[in-house]
Amino acid sequence: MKKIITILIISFVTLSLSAETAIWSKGTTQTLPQGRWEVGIFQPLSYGLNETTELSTYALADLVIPNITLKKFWKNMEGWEFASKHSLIYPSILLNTIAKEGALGILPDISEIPHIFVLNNQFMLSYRYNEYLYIIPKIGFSVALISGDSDFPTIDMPFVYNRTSIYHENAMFNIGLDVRGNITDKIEYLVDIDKFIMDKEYCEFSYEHKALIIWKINRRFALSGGYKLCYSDYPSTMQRSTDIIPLIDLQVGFK
Amino acid sequence: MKKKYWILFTVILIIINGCDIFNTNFDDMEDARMYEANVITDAPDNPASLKIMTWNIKFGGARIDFFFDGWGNEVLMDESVVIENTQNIADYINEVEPDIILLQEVDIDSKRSAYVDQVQYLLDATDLNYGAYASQWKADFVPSDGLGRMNSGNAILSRWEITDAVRIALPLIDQDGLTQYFYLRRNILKTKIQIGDEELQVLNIHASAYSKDGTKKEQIDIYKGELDDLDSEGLLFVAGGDFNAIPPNSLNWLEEGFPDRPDDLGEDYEVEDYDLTDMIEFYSDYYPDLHPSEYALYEEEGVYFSPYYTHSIYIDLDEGIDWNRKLDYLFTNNPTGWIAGSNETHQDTRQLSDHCPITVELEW
Repeated sequence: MKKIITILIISFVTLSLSAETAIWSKGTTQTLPQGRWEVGIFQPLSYGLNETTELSTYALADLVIPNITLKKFWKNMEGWEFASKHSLIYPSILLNTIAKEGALGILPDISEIPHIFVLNNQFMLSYRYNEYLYIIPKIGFSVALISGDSDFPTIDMPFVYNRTSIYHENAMFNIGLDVRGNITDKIEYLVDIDKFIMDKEYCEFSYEHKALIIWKINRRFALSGGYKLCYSDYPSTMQRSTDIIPLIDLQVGFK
Repeated sequence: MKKKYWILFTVILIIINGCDIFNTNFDDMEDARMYEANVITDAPDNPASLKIMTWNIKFGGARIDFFFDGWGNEVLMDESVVIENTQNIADYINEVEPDIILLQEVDIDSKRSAYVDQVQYLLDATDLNYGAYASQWKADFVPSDGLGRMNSGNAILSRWEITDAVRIALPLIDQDGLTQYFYLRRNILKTKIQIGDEELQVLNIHASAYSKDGTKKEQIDIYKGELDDLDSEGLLFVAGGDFNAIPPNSLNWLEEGFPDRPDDLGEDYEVEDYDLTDMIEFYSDYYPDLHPSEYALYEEEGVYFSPYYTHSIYIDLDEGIDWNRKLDYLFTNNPTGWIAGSNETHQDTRQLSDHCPITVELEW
């Protein structure tokens, strides 16, 4: 068994037919060049492990919600690129932290939080129409492995509900489409839409849409700004609504 | 440079406050939310009398030990529990058969009551046909104690159509900005009900509890002002609610004295000393559901039993702890007052809420 796992990991990290790397490539099928670091205020700390593999983590959140993501570029064939992303998240520490009396008690303090391990898998295809237009269909699923007694409510907030309901229902699917491209040499746009499909017992649907302008100032800095919109079903029938938040981020890269 | 930062900081604060991100604010006056039963039951055009009820139903929480009681730890109820408790309230209403009800602490969209719309539920489960609702605690998310989404308030239910309903905002308790942003916003729910050819003004209030800064008195005075305006216009009204105030001739008014909590409870709870002057002007200017002389019959210092008490946070009849104060009232400016002897304090509802309903009848 150990041998099989080792072979799988080695294959995963090394296997690819061709390499495709780029700086400031978050959300694309491309990975960071080997040895390059990138981090943003709201973006994870990412590292180019080799020419086809990238590791990332939300470093500041690691103390309360340990998380790691591996992104792998798999194949480039006649304009189509294929990559996948696989994340492991352990949210139990955070859930225990916010289950408290008084202010910032997001969950009741009598909540029973089990050990929860979430495995999120995303698969992306990218088609390059020209440098101004890349089309990236996505599909993914998450599974939650739960151990121990569980008794805590859902968190019925926009952008949070659809990401945390899996802690109760064990599986979630998502599909989406990104459209991105260059406006100028240094300025890029990104428009995407995602649908989260959850168990009907909790919620029928959740859509998210984002629009971003990314200014790649140089190899060291990138600035992005835009908005994110969520239209979702919640346990409350009166809550079905559209919510929007601004997005702004400064990213720093090394090497 | 420093000045620049201050200006930026101020602008950000104004934007955050202006955006009302958690949707907790109200206008000074706004339309109430209107309801209608799924099936309309016939109501007589010219009833001989109207039976009016007021009841604080504690969001269908019955006698569950909630965290805010001081000794409990429950925060959220399961849907089945909420439905069962709300159905018990509906059953009691069906037994008493009021024509108009003033409700306080009714949830319509709260996480704590499993998002059951209790106004709609009660309309559908009783012979009452129309409803108006004014929220007193509303937030897309209350980030405290695990409460989550909240929409709770006052409602008026009627067999006859409610032709107009407004929510009148009342002053807020003096608190720090963040607490106040997520806290209760008291109001007066003011409605017009068309009964045959006549119109009746019906008003409902749930005044602040634990207000040590005079806010409750201010709220009660504003309510009195609304009634005075209607009276001066010659309009007939019925007004009531949970005033969180005791009658002027009460002999027990110190909160520490009320036998209201289990013996083993610590001292970690807020107490309120009532002010005997809060309700004086209502009693002097309008007809109360219960005449002060009748109320006085059972008043005795240090004794907390009266057939007219309407509230108790905690009840244990084996330990001699029962309803221990009157906080709920109905008033009218009808020239002949209420029908004599029609008032009832329904103390057999001990397990349905921490308030019991009162009813009184008006000749029509």
